[in-house]
Amino acid sequence: MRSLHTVLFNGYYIEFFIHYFTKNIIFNSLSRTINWMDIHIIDAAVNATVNISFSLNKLLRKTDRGLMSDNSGAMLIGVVILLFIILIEGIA
Amino acid sequence: MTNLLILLLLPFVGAISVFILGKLNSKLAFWGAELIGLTLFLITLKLYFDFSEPLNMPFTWFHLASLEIPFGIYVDELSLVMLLIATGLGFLDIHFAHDYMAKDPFKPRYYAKVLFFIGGMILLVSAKDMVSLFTGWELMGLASYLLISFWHEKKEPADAGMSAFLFTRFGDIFLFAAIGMLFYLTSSLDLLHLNTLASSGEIDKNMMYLISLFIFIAAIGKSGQFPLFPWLMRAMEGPTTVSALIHGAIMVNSGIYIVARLFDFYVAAQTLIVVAAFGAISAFIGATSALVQTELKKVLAYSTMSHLSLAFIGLGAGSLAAGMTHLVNHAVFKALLFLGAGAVMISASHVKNMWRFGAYSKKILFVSIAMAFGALSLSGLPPFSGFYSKDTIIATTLLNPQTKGLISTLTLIAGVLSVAYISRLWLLTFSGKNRDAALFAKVKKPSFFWIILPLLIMAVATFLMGFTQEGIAKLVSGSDFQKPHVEGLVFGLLSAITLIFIIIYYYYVKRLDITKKLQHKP
Repeated sequence: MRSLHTVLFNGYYIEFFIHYFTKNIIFNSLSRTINWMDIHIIDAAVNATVNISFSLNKLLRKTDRGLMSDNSGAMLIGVVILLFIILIEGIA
Repeated sequence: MTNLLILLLLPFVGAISVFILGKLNSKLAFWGAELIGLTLFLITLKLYFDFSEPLNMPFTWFHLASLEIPFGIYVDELSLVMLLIATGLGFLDIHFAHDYMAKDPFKPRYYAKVLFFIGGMILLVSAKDMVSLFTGWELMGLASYLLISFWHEKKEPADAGMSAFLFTRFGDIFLFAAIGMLFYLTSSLDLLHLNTLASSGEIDKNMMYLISLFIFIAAIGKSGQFPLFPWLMRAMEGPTTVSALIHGAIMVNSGIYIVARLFDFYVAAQTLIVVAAFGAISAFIGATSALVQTELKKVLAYSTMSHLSLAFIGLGAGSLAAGMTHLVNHAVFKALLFLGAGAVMISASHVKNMWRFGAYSKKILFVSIAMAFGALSLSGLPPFSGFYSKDTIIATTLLNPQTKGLISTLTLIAGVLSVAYISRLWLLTFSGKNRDAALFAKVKKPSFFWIILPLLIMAVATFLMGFTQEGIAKLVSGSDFQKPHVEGLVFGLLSAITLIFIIIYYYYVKRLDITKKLQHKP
């Protein structure tokens, strides 16, 4: 009788179940999994892109002599590559 | 039209004015709120007496390319009844707060929030489309959070406010999704048009089913139904005048109102049985939990859950008139019971535990009489208003083949148990022997004008409303209403009420020593 009384007094423990579900299922399981994916997949992919760019930058910097002709040459190569891409896309 | 515009804008303008005026002189905050509350009620009365046909104010909020976002106002008989409840009980609640909040240093903030709250409800029940309805719905949600956590410097009220906010927001996400789906499917958000589209079968059946369920999730969140009800019990941490507004007059009614407003949509979507099923579970949980609570307000809170469920069951069983009539009756007798509880607490140094009361009718007779009227109506005793609507709901569930069986049984149990918990509340508080002599000695009589008068007005209203039930049913359903009849139901109900009252009287007055051993030890 006393147990029934306690269950009724606490509104069938519905609030307890809701808290349990929110804390253990939503926060601790679902949210943690999503957080892990965010850190280890999405953030890792972004960081990897940054690292690759940084390494490439480091590598290219070694070839830099500070001459105007080198810079304009690099620019010209870039423009040619861009035009090539546009041309290929246009044909496709 | 002018009156309607004033009715819509005055609470919000008033909230700002009351807050600013109150900073100059805190008494001005009360008088400003009282005046605005009275004006709102008088305007609603004028709208009611002048009513000949629905007031329609279509309005476009903004255009976005070919999209047209509406923000219309529409007032028909159903809206008018809800407006009368919101403004009438809102005014009495403000009046009552004069003494209840007398010692509070933040009165301007309180009255500003109450007016803001009433404004949200007025907008909601006057909405022509889902956009204006959702705006009113959210404004009221925000106001309820601000009012429940009014004493936010204490941990419990702050947590209770947050709980109410999160639980109701959970439902609101579904309402927002439903609005988006409706707009995508029909390019219309007009409530009446949606009903027409649904009835004529122009919306996909499966989508209608899903949308109506989404709206219902929002409704159970707002009306504190299973499983989203815990916030309703925690909301008791706010001032009792706020509890009366939230639990009786305003907020919890909005969930039922939205289902009633989209009743044809629900009929076409065939989701009324879901409404009835959840209502039956909530009614049973509410009624059985109310039976064992020790705090005055907690009993009433669980009772609110149970009685709103009865209104949901009425709608779910296919009777708009039964559900809405009970909603109207409940609003009045529950506001009366909550304010009565507030009066008891004012008199008893803000103690809430009923086990410390007893024999209070010797000290606060008028409060005990007024609360007895509320209790009799809640119990469903003729000729009080609760009798007609409760009897109609039970009869409807018994006559509907879909609800006959488990749903009607749970409804019957919940309906009959309401006599048990409310008579327990009344007997523990007002009759028998006093159980805390020190507290009893300190009990003081509340002011007649500020505290007892609003209670007596509501007590008379709940009694007189018992004689106008068919008129109310006609108003809220928009057509003539024939009360369903089940052979022997009234006799059975009255016998059960009498028997239960005798049992409760025996265990809570005559043999309290046995019962006391069972009570919960916090």
